[in-house]
Amino acid sequence: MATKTYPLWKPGGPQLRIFLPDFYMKLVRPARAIPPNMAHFKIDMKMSKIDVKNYLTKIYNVPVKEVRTHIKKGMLIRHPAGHKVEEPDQKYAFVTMEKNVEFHFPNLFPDVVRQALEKEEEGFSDALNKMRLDKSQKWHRSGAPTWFSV
Amino acid sequence: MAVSAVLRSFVSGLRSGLRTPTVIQLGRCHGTEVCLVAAPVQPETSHKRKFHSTVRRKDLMEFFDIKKNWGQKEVRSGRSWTKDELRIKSNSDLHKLWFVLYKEKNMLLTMQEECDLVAELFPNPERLDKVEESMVNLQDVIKERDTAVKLLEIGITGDAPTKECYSGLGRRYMHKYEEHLMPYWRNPRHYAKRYVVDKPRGFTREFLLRLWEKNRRQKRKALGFQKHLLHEARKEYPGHPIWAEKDVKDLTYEEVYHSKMSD
Repeated sequence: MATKTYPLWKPGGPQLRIFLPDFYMKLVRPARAIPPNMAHFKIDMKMSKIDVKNYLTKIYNVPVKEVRTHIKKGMLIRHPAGHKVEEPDQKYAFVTMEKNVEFHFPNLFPDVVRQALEKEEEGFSDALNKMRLDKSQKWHRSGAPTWFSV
Repeated sequence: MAVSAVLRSFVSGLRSGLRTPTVIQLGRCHGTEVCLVAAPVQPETSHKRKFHSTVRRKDLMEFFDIKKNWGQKEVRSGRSWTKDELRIKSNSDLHKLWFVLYKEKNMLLTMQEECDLVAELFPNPERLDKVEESMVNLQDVIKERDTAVKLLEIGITGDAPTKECYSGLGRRYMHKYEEHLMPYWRNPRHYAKRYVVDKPRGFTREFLLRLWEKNRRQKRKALGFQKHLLHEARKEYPGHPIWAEKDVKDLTYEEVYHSKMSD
C-alpha cells in the first residue's frame, strides 16, 4: 500500500483496488459469552466495516453476514512523574458469520503440554538441589571440579 | 537500438505481470523459512507438475499457530526474505508471498495478544520482526520496479513533488505536495494559511535569532570542551611530536587522537 500513491476518489471515478493491503486484524478472546457463529476482533483504526467484510471473505474465506465496529477509548494512566498519559485508542469488530459456521476460541495453553513442561522443570530443580547440597557438604573442596580427588 | 529493444520488452513484461489477473493461491507458512510461494498456475498443455508444498486451509483457525506449537516455550523459525531473493521473483509470485507473510503476521499478533491476556511469555517474539522485515524488503523491490518502469516510460520517478517552505515559526522545511479535490485558487484562506508563509520577520525573526544563538552557544561549548581535552592531552604526553609541528590553536582534538606516537 505504501508503495503506490492512489489518486483521490470522487463520485463516478473507478473503484480503488488495493494490491498490497497493510491492515492488521487480531482474533481475540471475547470477554463475555457470544454465540458460536460470532467472532471478536481487534482491528486497524483505518478499517471500515466493508473493509473487514472484504478482508475476511477474500483472504480467509469466512462467510460473513454482518459486521459491527466500535472504538474503545484508551485508558488514562498515571505517570510516576505526576502527569497523566493516555493509551492509544483501539477499534474492535464483532463479526457475525453464517448460521452453520461454528467457531469456539481454542485453549492455546493445553494442560498436557503444561504438565510435560513442568516435569522437565522438576528435573532441573532436582539437579540444582543436589548441586547445592554437594556445595554445603564438600565446602573444603569448593571450586574444585568433581573429577578432582586424591 | 538493440539495448532499447531489450529494455522495452523487459518493461512490457513487467507491465503484463502487473496487469494480468493473478490467481491467489494462499499458502500457509509455519516459520518464515518454509515460506514456499505457491507455484504459478501452468496452462493445461504444460507438462510441468502442479506442485506446491503449502497447505490450503482457509478458515478462521488460520489466525492461530499450528497445534504443535501451542503452549510451547520455544518455536524455531528461519531467517527473513532478503532483497536479492525477492528480486528474482515475478510480480505475481511477490503478490502471493505478500499475502502469505500478511497472514503470518496476523497469526503472530493474535498469539501475542492471547499470551498477554493469559500472562504467559510469547515464544520467540523475533518472528514478528522477521516477517515485518521481509514485508519491507518486498515493498522496496516493488517500488524499484515501479520507478524503473516510470523512468523509462515517462522520465520521472513518480514520487510526490516537494517544495521549500517556511513554517509558521519561520523555520525552513520541505513541503510534500498532496492531491486535493478543490484547486488552490478556490480556497485562498487555506492556501494562505498552509503553503505561503513569508520569510521570517517580526516575532518569528526574533524567535529564530534566539534559536540560532542557542545553537551557536552549544557549538561553542562543544569546541571549548575539545580545547580542554587538547590541553589535558598535552599535559599527559608532553613528548609527542605533534606539539612541535603545529600550534595548539590550529590543532583539533580528532587530529591528535588519530595521530601516531613515533618512537
